[in-house]
Amino acid sequence: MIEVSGLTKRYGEFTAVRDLSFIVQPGEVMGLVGPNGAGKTTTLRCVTGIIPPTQGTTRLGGIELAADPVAAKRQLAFFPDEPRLFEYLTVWQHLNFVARLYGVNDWTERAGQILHELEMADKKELLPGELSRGMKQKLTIACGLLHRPQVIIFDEPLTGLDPGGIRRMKDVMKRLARDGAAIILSSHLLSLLEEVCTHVLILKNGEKVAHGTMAEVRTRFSHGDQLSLEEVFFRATGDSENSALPPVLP
Amino acid sequence: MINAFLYLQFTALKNRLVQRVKRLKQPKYLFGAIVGTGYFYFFFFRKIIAGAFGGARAGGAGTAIPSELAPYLTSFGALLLLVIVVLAWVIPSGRAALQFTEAEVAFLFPAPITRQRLIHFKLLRSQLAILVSTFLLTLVFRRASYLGGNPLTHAAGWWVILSTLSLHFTAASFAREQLLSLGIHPNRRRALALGALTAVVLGSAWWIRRHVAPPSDADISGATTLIHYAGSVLQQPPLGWMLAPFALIVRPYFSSDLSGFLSALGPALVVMGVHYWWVMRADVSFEEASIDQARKLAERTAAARSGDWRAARNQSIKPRGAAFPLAAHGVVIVAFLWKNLIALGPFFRVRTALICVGLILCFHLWAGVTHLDPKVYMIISLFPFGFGCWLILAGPMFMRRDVRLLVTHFDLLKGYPLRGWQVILGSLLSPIILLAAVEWLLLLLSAPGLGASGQGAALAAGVFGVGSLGIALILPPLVGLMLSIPFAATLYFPAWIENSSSRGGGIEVMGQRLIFLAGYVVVLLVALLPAVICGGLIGYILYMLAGPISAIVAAALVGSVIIGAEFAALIWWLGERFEQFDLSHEMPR
Repeated sequence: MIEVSGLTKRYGEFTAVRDLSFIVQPGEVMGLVGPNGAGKTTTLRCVTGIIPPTQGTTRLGGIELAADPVAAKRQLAFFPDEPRLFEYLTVWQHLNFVARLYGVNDWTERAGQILHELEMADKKELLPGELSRGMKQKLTIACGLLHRPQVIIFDEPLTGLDPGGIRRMKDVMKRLARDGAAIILSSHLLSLLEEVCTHVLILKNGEKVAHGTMAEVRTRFSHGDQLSLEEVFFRATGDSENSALPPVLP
Repeated sequence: MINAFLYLQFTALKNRLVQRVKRLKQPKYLFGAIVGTGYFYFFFFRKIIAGAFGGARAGGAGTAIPSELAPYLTSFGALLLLVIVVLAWVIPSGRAALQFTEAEVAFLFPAPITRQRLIHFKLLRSQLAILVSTFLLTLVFRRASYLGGNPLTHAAGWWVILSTLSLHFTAASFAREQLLSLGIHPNRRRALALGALTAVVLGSAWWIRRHVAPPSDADISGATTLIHYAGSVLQQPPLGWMLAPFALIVRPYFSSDLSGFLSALGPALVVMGVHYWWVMRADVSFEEASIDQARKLAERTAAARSGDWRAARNQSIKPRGAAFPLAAHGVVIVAFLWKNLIALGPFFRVRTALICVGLILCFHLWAGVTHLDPKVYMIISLFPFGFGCWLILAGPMFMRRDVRLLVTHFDLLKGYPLRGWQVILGSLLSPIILLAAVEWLLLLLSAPGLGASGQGAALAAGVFGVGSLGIALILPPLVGLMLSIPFAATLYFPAWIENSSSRGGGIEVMGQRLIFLAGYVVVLLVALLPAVICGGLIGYILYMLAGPISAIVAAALVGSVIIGAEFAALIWWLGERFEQFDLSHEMPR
């Protein structure tokens, strides 16, 4: 479970995130959306403990992040938009390294199983430089799942993936949720959120403008219409979907 | 069209300069610029200014080299130029390509301009770098004051040399491409070039042996006579004939007066003009290779900006075995050591250290068995000792890769379930072990020879041996402390520790490096002060009471304990800082 209460992050005079609170229960997938500069990345970085919040608390799996960051982070897997790998470690050595960091005793069997499921069993001895973008993403997933995390955070997980990779990533997210993980998914791809998420949180200028199940949020902004998440998003953020269109040149 | 090229060059240059000036609003660049300017003033411009106002002596403009040696210096310069030119024909293996950026490729290649215009653009752009290089070389070589004459003529001489070389490199790359199109493989071309060079060298050696007397004792009695002899040999045919075109290029630089310069300039410009004609006449397709080169350049630049220096240097890496098996449980920081030893490669293993120890012991055994002259033994030992002293100061600078990793992988490391001190110590562990091991080996190599410096007394040898062990004891915590300082700088002044490529070069960046070097030395001296005072005091008291061996042992123990405690405190402190560190101020939100 992810519990965020009164999260505020300021950079000098500028407030990136203001008094944000939400809970993601096990088995739920919460989509985090908002225009550029809404505070999504700052929120994710605060929730994962990468940056300290100015105010507020975060509990991961019932453990307060500020009080016991080590124990809280043991529950967590964070998947950034770009795979961050060590250039000189092979696929298998990455998993060995992560196993030591998280103390995964049965790592060899589990790593073999994960690699097999991700169709990477024959890539064990390859370096990141020899892997495609999709394969690097898969390796990041393998490393993240090795320690059986209960709290999982995805930041733009589909960036640079081919259609096969996109489908695989969606399947991974759905299965992790079924297995009881609490998941936050940040993405600009509203169709992805519509397909995968059970809940949605819309941010604008660092503040929560909508939060609830997909149905609740739709109902709140639909006024009786049958709206897509994209239309809900534009109504919630007050942006017009047509405002960004450039004038047509002769 | 040339106006468009000039506009591009000058606008880009102007904008770059404006950007540099604007960023001086940030203190880190302002202070860097002040220190960098001060450095240039004190080491280069001060003498020029003093010379302008205080006469030739203050300016250091006196002729240090006898004027009769000038022709010989021209021959040496021509020989150096010959070597550079030959290498340009031997080493490169790539296709003919002109260096363009990706933006230039995108805008200029599809534009309605001829290939000659493109070549002109490239030549024009290279002039900017050549002019900067001319300025710097003129400064570094002290305006050629040792040659006499006017600094401006020497600067113009540098310009002639660099411009001709640049044209020759371009022409050579076109000629290599033409040879390739004729079916001459690069290896065959190399063999031909080296074969021709070898033939000339052997022919010249044969000629010299037949016609030039070997050097007499008087010829090798001093630097001047040696230059005289060697220079006269270079002027002998056929070597002299071969060096003649190269001498034409370097002669303006070595001219010691204006009339000599002007008479040398004409032939040099003719050679340059011939090169220009060669470049423009060469009908070679360079576009495809240039596009490929532009892409690689962009990739290397991007890699350098993201801290990936291996990729930036275009180095390929291969999978490497681990130094030891890593169990799933145990001290977590060992995982960092395991990972970093893989990165260092198979050479950096315990077996290598043991082989080195074996070789060093064999050397000392040989010295003992052959009764090596103690003075010779000491002189040989001075080299590893000096290298060890230099390495302990410069070593932490070489280990900055780990500091860069800390910066580039910050968000990844922050996500691990580890305390801050574990991340810091884990990141430091492999460089500490590596540097301490190298220092120990150098100590083992140098100590016996330095101890056997002719004193002969067993006590002196004993004192020296114990002293060496004392140094060995102090080395690991000392190395750890020194390596921690760049980490501390990264965590406390992160904005100053960016990749230099991401902020460009310039005098302000050089000044920043000087500030850091000074800060590093000051912090190190302050950190060592308690150990030196306490160890020295206890050592002195024990020396008076119990003799030198006890004093050395006690001083080394006290010193290593104090430095070790400082190191531990620093790691804990940096760990706390790492945990509280707000990465968001350094990263885009």
